[in-house]
Amino acid sequence: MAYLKNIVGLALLALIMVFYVITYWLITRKKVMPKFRTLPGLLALDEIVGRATEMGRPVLHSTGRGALYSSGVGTTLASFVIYGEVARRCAKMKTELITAIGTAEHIPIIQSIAENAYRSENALEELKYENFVFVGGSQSSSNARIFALLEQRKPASFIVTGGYGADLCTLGGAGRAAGCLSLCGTTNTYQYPYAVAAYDYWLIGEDFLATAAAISKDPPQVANIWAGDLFRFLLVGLIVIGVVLAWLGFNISEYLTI
Amino acid sequence: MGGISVLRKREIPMAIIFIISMIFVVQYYVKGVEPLDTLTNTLGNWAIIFSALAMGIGLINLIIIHGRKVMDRKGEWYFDAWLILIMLVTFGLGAIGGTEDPYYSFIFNNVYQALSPTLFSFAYLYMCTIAVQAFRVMNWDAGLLMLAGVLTMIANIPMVQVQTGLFVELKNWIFAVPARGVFTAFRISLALGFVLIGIRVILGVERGYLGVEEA
Repeated sequence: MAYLKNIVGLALLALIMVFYVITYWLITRKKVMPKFRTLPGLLALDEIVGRATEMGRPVLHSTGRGALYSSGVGTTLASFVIYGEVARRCAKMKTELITAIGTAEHIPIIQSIAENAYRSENALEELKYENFVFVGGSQSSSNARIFALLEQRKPASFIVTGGYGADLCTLGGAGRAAGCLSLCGTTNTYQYPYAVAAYDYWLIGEDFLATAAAISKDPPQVANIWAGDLFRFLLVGLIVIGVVLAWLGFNISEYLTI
Repeated sequence: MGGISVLRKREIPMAIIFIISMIFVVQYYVKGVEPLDTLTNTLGNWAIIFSALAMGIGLINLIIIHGRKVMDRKGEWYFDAWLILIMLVTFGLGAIGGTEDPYYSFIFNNVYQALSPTLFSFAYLYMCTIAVQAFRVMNWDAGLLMLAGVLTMIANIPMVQVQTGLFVELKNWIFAVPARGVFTAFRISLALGFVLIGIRVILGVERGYLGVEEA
């Protein structure tokens, strides 16, 4: 006998989808482009690539050691999307891009993204394959290799996105010591304080995941983020109602789990 | 446009992602449909096998990328040659003798295990330097951060813990109320972000990660 489980979760997912459809309809049919919240880290991409161009030095982008087969895949995908945008801007500005790859399985994907980005700017011949550097699959090995890249190649800008642990802090400190303008993107909540303290610009939490959509300005992408923002307002309202009801003695949590 | 293999087009991976994702989404919400449960179990096993195969793909990728550098004699090519050599030796020893092989154990325990914490110690060094930079009181926000940090550090001193419980109580309050509140907000927001990026990937709206040739 088939039956529904996780009814509350299903209802919330359905609600997100309804918001998504409505916002997409508004954007495409009514030509209402919602005001998207500003992401300073995203705006900084121009400055980061521009600095390297002006100084005639490379951009170093570390794409992380994120998983492809677990729940952290969202972080890895977001990192890949940002990397594609950085590669495109570097190709456009004729700026050298060094890519530090933390996981061996990422190598063909990263190369493919870079090729696509350089091809879109008609600059495929500018892509240097020797600048794809595998930095090892552990914190220690990637730290060591990236330290060496910072020291030897003297990049003007340093971008760190994707899956990281404590090495996020280490890399930020090393980047600052090397005089780089730095940006990090992470969803690792334990690393947020280090991200804020050690980098010049940062994209943390949901902002990092939303960046990919913000870059494209594609209506389905923007609608997705706007739907999320609406849903967030709804959640805040529900939390406030829940707090008030709990204060009055009603335990609503028992009605939310099945 | 000619010249692009059908296997390089985006439609096939996007279709696979959509079908597999929908199977798992439906299975998450509906229980008791027997073929669905069996199918998701089988697909879950496939995922484990694929992730193991990915290690082999990673090995091949490394040999290709570093082998190319060795062949071209570009830059510090001898490090690339060293990496390939050590990788193949370690892989060979592990594959033939297993993880109990004495030579394999020697490499792991005496080289890898020794180097790993050595390099990890940099993390503590940079934590200290970054903390110093973060604690520069330039505004009220930084002042609050400084206050919370100093209180927490004082509370972690064993002598203070023995002498007075005040700082420990203050630290516990900071962890239990403001810190947990902010972290919960971050986590809720993050979970929502993962749901949204999941929807974008399943629906094929998010394609930047595919990186393959435009169809």
